[in-house]
Amino acid sequence: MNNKRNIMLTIAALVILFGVACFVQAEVNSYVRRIINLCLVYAIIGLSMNVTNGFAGQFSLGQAGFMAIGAYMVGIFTVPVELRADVFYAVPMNPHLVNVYMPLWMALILGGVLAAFVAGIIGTPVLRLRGDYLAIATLGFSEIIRIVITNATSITNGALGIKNIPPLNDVRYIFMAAAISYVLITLLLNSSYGRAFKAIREDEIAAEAMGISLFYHKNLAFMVSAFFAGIGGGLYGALLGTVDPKNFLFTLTYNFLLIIVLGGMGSVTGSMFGAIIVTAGLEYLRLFDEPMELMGIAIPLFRPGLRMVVFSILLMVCVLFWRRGIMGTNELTWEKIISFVKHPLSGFRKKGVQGK
Amino acid sequence: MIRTVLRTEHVTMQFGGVIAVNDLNIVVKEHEIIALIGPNGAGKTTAFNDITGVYTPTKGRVIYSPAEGKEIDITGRKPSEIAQLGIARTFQNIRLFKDLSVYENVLIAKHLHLESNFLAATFRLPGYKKEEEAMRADVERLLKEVNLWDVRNEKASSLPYGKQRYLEIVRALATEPKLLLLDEPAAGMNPKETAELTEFIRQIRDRFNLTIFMIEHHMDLVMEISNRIYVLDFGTTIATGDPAAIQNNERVIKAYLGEDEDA
Amino acid sequence: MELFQAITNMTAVSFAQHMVNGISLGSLYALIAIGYTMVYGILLMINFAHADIVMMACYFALFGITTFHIPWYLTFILTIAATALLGVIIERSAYRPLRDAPKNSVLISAIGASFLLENLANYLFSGRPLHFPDIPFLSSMIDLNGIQVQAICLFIPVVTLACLFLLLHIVNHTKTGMAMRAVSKDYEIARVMGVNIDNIISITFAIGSALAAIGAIMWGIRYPGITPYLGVMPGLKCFIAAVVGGIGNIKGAVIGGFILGLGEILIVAFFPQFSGYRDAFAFIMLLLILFYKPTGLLGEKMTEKV
Repeated sequence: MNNKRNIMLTIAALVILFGVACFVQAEVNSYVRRIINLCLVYAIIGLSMNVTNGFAGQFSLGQAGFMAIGAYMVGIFTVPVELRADVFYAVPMNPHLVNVYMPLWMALILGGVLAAFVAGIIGTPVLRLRGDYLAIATLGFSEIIRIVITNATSITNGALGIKNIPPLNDVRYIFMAAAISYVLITLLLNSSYGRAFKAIREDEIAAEAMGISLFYHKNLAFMVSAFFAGIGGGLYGALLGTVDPKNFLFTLTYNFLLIIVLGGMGSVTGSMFGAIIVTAGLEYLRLFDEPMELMGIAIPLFRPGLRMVVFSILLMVCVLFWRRGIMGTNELTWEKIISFVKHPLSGFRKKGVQGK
Repeated sequence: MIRTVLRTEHVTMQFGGVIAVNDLNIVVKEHEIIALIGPNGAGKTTAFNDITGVYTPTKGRVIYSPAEGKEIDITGRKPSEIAQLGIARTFQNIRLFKDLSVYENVLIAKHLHLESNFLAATFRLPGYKKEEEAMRADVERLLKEVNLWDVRNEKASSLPYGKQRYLEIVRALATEPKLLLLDEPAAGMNPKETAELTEFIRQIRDRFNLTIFMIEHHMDLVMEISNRIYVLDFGTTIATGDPAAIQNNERVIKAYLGEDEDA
Repeated sequence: MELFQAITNMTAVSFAQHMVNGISLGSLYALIAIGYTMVYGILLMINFAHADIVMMACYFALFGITTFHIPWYLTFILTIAATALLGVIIERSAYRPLRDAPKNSVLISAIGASFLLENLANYLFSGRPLHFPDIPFLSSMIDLNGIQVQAICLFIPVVTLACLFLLLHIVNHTKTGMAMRAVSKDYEIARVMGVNIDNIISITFAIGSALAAIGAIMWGIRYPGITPYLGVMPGLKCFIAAVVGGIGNIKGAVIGGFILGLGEILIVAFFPQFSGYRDAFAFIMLLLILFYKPTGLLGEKMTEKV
């Protein structure tokens, strides 16, 4: 059966990629590793955002807030106990927490669960809203989360942020996390629940008339999305080695918005491509922020800030001229890859029905 | 005695100053085909929306009986709950899941019977796998029966208009309803297609043991298969009776048939 | 009880001080909120870029006075004109091409436009705060029976109300205003009736942006630290003000603006321990209103056609 073959191929691909990750970890310099890791983390968060925005069709802009929750769980619990007094030098850490230490994986899961829990509380009032109201409300909540974090000084060290997080620049670890997230999200989206999400995206009223509870499924999508955003945020914190409320301004969410718009709203594989292009692109664009000399003459255009201008123009161009993005709502499937390998050109001709 | 499947008691729907439906009292009995007719804007679709939970009636109750000796007041319940209780519907201006395939459209309608939770579904636990297989088998059987199997991979929106109407009915059938509400199923169909649809409605009623309540403008369809007809004008019921009685009713002819000759 | 104590602990003078602050902040919110509500009324979209139009207007005024040495009153007029033009340009380039696109695409485009303006300002004017120039008399502090007030605070509510009445006059008693109301009531029918929709939308953006510019100038005098991101928080709050008042309703936006401005200042005044949560107040208001009266205080009920 084709289904079995696809599963085997996917497993094989993941194993090979893990091999590549091990190789990269051993052979590549830490700067490149950091970029690859950032790609993977962004892929997790982009995927998580696609669950609500692309699949369930609920335009949420809360990713930065959920990431902050995950990142702070890592910050609070994985800093070695003996270093905490250094971190919390202004206001001492809450005595109940000061001696609680967790390994990274546990803090990640805790962050994901807490983010999902917060999403569940927020979701009940907010998910009744449509379109842009939902966008504003989720964005507002993402800011409220940040405000709360900034003010809960004895837990989060407030505006000073938490330093001394054991840095994690391990491609294998982050690859595993990304692979697991990818597999779980894909499995959910390909299940009956994923189809219910899509039904809500296509037509809420018809979905409801088919017995699909909007309340339950929107909340489910929102919580699952928050869970993985929390995990991604935790990894992000561990990768940076420090968390600070300023890292989680809602403009951070725009990165993931670009990822899913570019990759295709409603495409898992699209989010992967989007994440790679956006992260690598943002990194590459850094040279725009450096003064550049061409044949001995400094080009005045290149100075700090140009990178983000280019980035936002990219987002605009994407939505104005290329609304479907790379994948639209399609997926890159093994069938397509195999048929491409067999007949490299037929992919351009084929369209519509696959009569079997 | 034959069981009453659906009953509306003094259902009234008011939007601001406009009374869209006024004191509607409808009785639908098991295995019947009941038609709701009336000029455009008479409040027919509003009545459907009151029954299926899209609106909550301003006044009155909607009583539904899924089985002998069981009566449920469904007034103001959520549309999804009402669908889960066994009332399915179609829409006047077709509401398919446009970008999804024909197959997915129907498969989604099976979701409401799913018992496995989302974790069981994500991890493909045996219970879920079994349910998924059963759902797919059901959908395959259903699509083959209505000759939509060959187009199962097409996007719903790419089907010809008439087939979209059928697909919407099939999608409603996939929820395994006891009561089916059809909102203008023959809209936009020519006489030949309408005749086929008439036959189809009768067939599915017998095949799936349904009770059918429909809004329709095509009078030949209505007159041929309805057990009883309710006529609405400006939100008020102006006549009730079997097709013969309605055809000869003065008020109906004046309010409706007189103006609408394409009947 | 706590509230009672907080109130009694406050002297009349400091209460008056807070009221003045609250009313002037509320007026500024009101002016900006009008732009959101007008655009939403007609296009059913959040003009995310509106916040950044405010920011841009601040820079226009700042550079007009400091770099180009144009007299301040002339600068203000030029700023209003330039900002109105900017609003129209944004509508033409970012929103008009998507007139028939899905709503989410328009939303993304609006976010993109907002983000672009911020990044552009950051690139062109640098991220460091620039100081808005002092304006004769308006920037100075005056003493009213022990209350220290910046002179501009006395003008802000007056200017806001004047703008409101002028706008209401335009909307209710001119042909253009009638066309605007028609488009906002039913886009399609207005089109069929021969209203030039594109023009009306442009005029709406021009008026909204001009009001934003007036708000921005007063904002700059009152809070002189100008940064590329200064519009973001007020922008969100002003949109919320528009929702609280009833989206699409101009008077509602003004009322919403006052509620938010006053509420924010008074809560901090009465409960200094919550001052860190000042920015959260607006979002809590949003949730409350959406929960209890989703159409806003003055909004009309909308039912979706099935």
